[in-house]
Amino acid sequence: MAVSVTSQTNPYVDKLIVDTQANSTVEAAVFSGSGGTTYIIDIDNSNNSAACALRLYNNGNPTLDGSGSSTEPDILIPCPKQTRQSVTITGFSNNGATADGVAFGGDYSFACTTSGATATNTSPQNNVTVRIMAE
Amino acid sequence: MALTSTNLVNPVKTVLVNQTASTSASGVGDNNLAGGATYLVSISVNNAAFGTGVYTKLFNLSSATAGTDTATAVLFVPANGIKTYTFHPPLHFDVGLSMVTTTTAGQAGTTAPGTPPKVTLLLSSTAS
Repeated sequence: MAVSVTSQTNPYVDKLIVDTQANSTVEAAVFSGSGGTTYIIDIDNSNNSAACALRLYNNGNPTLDGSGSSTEPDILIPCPKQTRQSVTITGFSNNGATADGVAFGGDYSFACTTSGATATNTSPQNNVTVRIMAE
Repeated sequence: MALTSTNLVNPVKTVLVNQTASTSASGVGDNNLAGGATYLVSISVNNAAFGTGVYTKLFNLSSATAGTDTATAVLFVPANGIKTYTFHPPLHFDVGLSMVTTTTAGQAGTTAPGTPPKVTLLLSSTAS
């Protein structure tokens, strides 16, 4: 069968966020003050011999200072050591309509640490690449 | 090459866990869902009946208490929403898988949903 590739005028998602060095420095307000909807998350932790945790915030200015009062992430996705972990988010609204992804209405920030504990702000030892398909 | 198809007598173990009201009453939800180590293939949280967003927290522990233990994964589901998180590859919980659902994020969040969501998990005994 012939293969065809066409550009979509109304794509499923229109933003690909890529951070080739995701760490405990918060990537804040990546949509510049607008909210966003996350559909697919891909965490490449293959360079590390320890697990990591991706923190997604519905917040344009979260704190991640290693204290117990750091901003809690709305979504926390772990990634085992030497692994590439992907997560897809699909869904519906309560009227049965398709509603894929999870929307953050405020703003959109993320960071990556060695664990998901509130008081942890240790960066992975080696580079972690995070890709997020969103709109 | 010849093709063969064989029915397995003892297929890879797959467990479907259905909790009709996932909550965190007194900080405790559901402990050790698979009776030991397991792989999480997907989790669906049906929060359609509740007008507030919820956070389903998964712990790599055989017993977990909201407000005390650190969650391995936190999955947000909006008000009146139904979301399925699918993991590729399946996520390994090498100790056990315990779960609570709260209306507040993070380690400190313990407030139970007014209307607890239905949660369905697909678990496997292997990574593939």
